[in-house]
This record gives sequence, C-alpha cells and structure tokens, in this order.
Amino acid sequence: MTVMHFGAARDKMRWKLPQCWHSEEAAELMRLYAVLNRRGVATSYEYGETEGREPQFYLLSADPREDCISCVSRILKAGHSWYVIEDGLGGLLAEGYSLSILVRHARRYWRSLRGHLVAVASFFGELLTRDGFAADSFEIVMTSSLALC
Amino acid sequence: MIGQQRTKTTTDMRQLRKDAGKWLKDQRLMAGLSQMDLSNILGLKYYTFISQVENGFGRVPSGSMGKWARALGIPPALFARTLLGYYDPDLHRLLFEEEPL
Repeated sequence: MTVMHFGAARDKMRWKLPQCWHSEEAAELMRLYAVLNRRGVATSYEYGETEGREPQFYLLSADPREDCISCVSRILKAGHSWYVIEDGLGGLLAEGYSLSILVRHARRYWRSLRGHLVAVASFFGELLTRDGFAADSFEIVMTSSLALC
Repeated sequence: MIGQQRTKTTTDMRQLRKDAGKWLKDQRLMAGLSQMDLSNILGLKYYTFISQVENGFGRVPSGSMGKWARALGIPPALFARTLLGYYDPDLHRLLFEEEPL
C-alpha cells in the first residue's frame, strides 16, 4: 500500500512550479506593497520571472522616469529558496532566506520613518547594525540603496 | 515640432521600457549568452537584474552601458544611442534626428 503524504506532495508541487509565488510569499509581498502604497512610494506592482522561471515581483512608482522602485526575486541557492531585493538600477539592497523577515523589517522601517527617501537608506543601514539580526540567519548587503533616492 | 510633442505618459514609458527589454534580450540571445553568463561578465552577484531589465522593469544604468555593450558585442555608442531611443525618446530625437528650424 502506498501512503501519500500530502504535505510532502504539496511541497514537491511547489518546486515543480518555481515560476509561481507561493500563497504565503504573495501575502508577504502584498504587505510590503501596502506599506509602500500608503506612503505613496509605490503605486502599482507587477509579476515576472527570470529566464529560469524564477519569480520576480516589481514594485512600481507612478513616476515613469523611476518606474521600478524595487524588485524582489526568489532564486535557488544551494538547493534552497533565496530572496534577493534590488533597486531599479541593479543595486543589491538585501538578500536572505526568509522573505517574511525581510518584509517585516521593511514594513516596520517604512512605516516608522517619515519620508521614503530617508526610509530606504535608513532601513538598510539599520539592518546592518542590528545585533543578532544579520549574524547567522541573514545577510544584508547595502550597496546602492541611495540609488533609490 | 515642439507643440506637437506630447509628454510621455507612464503607460508610454513602460511600453518603451518593455521594448528596450525585448531588444536587450534579443541582443543577448544573439550573443549566445544566458542571463547568468551576462551577469557574470558584468560582475553582478545575481542575474536577477538582467531579468528585471529584460522584462521592462529596470533600465541599464548609463554608467555600465559600456560594459553591457562590450558583453553583447555591440559598439558602445550604438548601444547607448539605441537605449536612449527607448529610455528618453525626446532627447534621442533632439540629438540624433535632424529637424528643420
């Protein structure tokens, strides 16, 4: 008799559909968008994928000259999901294995800071200096967050 | 004529950026490069930005246009001029298309 473990089967299905965001991920992305939308930073969003069918999420500005404010991608790194956040000019803003952690901190900082120009730089700057945050579970890279400004 | 020039709307600009992305993708494929190959040549940590640009949601930074051009085997001036036509068509017209005074 074959016993099917639906949880495992569901997880396998997810990996067969890497071009899709999982429902939990989509919810996190929507939370991030909601914060940026309320602050007037992002006015719309789009989905896309890489050549390898890895999902991307684009946060878009109303300003046609700026267009993409930030891009969230999920790629495979050493066989695991890895999230990459970049600005519209290719600057690597943040990366890590937990999208929820990324989004939670992003929401907190964007919500608490008054201007989005300050918020972007401060968000990534603060992440770098938080004790125990960037240590073993996370890697944050602040290469060009000011490019967003 | 200046009076006939209209301000580019967000939709127009996004479509132009998508067109630019398609052109870039075509050039990359003609050069026989994958997104990962190109990102390695450009010194990018991830290839996700290549995808972002090709999907029309980012632009090639002017500071790295030379690198992109060389990676794709295109003369840098031609590469920059072509992209300017997508990214800033009004400026492109002023610079490269002769108009009567």
